[in-house]
Amino acid sequence: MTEGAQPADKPTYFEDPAVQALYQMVLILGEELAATREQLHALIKLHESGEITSVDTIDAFVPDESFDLERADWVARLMEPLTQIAEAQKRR
Amino acid sequence: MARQQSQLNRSTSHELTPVASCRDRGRQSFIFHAKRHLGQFARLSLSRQFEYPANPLPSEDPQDTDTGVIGTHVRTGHAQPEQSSAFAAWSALNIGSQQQMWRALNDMLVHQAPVLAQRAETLAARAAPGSLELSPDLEMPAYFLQTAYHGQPGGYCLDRGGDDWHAGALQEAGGNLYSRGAGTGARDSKGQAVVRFLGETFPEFAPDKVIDLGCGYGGQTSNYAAGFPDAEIHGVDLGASLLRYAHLRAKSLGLKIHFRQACASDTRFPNASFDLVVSNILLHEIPQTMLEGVMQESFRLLKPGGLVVHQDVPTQRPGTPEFQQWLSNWQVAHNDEPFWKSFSETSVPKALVNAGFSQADIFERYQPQIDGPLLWYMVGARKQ
Repeated sequence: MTEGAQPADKPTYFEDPAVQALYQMVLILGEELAATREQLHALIKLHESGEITSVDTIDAFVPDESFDLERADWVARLMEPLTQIAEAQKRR
Repeated sequence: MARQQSQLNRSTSHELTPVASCRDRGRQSFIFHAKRHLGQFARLSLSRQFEYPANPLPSEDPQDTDTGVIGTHVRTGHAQPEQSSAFAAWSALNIGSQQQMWRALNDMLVHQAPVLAQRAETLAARAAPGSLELSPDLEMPAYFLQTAYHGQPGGYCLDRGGDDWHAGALQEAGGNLYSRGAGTGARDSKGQAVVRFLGETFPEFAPDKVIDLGCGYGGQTSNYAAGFPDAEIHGVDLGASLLRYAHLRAKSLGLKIHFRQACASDTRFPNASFDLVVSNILLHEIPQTMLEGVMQESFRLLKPGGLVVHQDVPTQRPGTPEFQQWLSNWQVAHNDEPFWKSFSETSVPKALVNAGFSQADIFERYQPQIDGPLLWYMVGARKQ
């Protein structure tokens, strides 16, 4: 029986560690929003088709491919400022 | 000729595969798309800093006049990506997404623990075509106990006692999501890539006994069982929890595999007892001294005429772009990959020669993934 290894401490990427914490918070919020979007999408689609909505039917619902494009699109928009930083840096 | 194209890959499911709830699916999809985006950003934007360094510094070393080719870019000075705000933001998001990946997968496994435990109990009671041999007193190397590979909580050594197989389940789920986020397709399989490599390079080779060193959760071992259905298949690893999972997983898939808890450099099998010795992405996860030991064990285990093939990340490729080398170093410093850099700097062919193989019998190949953009590094030898 072993308790297992712990991930090594990560380098700090910003002078102010609060900035790094903010990035993590944004990711956590993004992930939580993604979970909510997924549930809401299932709920709407089930409702539209007149099916019973329950935890089981929501969990069993499989979105079509177009929803995955929507997922990719909004994650891309969330990450867009990153590209803007790099572009601004390149122009300097 | 007992070689078949196995259909086992990253989309293979079995009785211990957790079923993602709607929330799980949303969380994992977010991580997948974030990883895809961050990977693209690194390749398309961050890599350009090697072409246009933010703060080019004059070289103090007169020998340092290299113009190492970086893809289509040419290095024009000392790139200083660590000094850029884009690098800082990318690193924070990249490591953050990795931490969240583990949390999301761990949560999914914890939520489904009662159902999965019931399935494991049913599987445990089922007669196994293969076997599991654990050695509770086996001494673990310090590096194994201290490394949480790629940030996996508890690392591969996590063992909560009893029938615990959590580390194995995490390793399979994490490996799949990480690889998909890195651009690898669901039909990919490293073991299949080795089986295909063997088929292309040694078409007459048909092993009777195969051993997979550092087999982990047994995903690739399954591919050797499926690829060589007439052969006796063995897998060894240090992690007890990984092996318990591997054994149940093989049972669920109806595969006859014999798992043993042992170090890849000291498997306790007799001399000259295998026709084929393989490993999949083991070498970049062990220290240099252990790598030498694995080569010696490979030589010892092989029968005359047998083959060894080690498959790993392609960081050793001649002319590896400077940006790729920089990314490798990033993995070391930021993603719990302490041996990646030393592996990149190691000559595996030299280690094979040191272990007893003849230089003339050594081969190296960069083999395309089955379903993905990468090339895998294949290195090995035939024992005379």
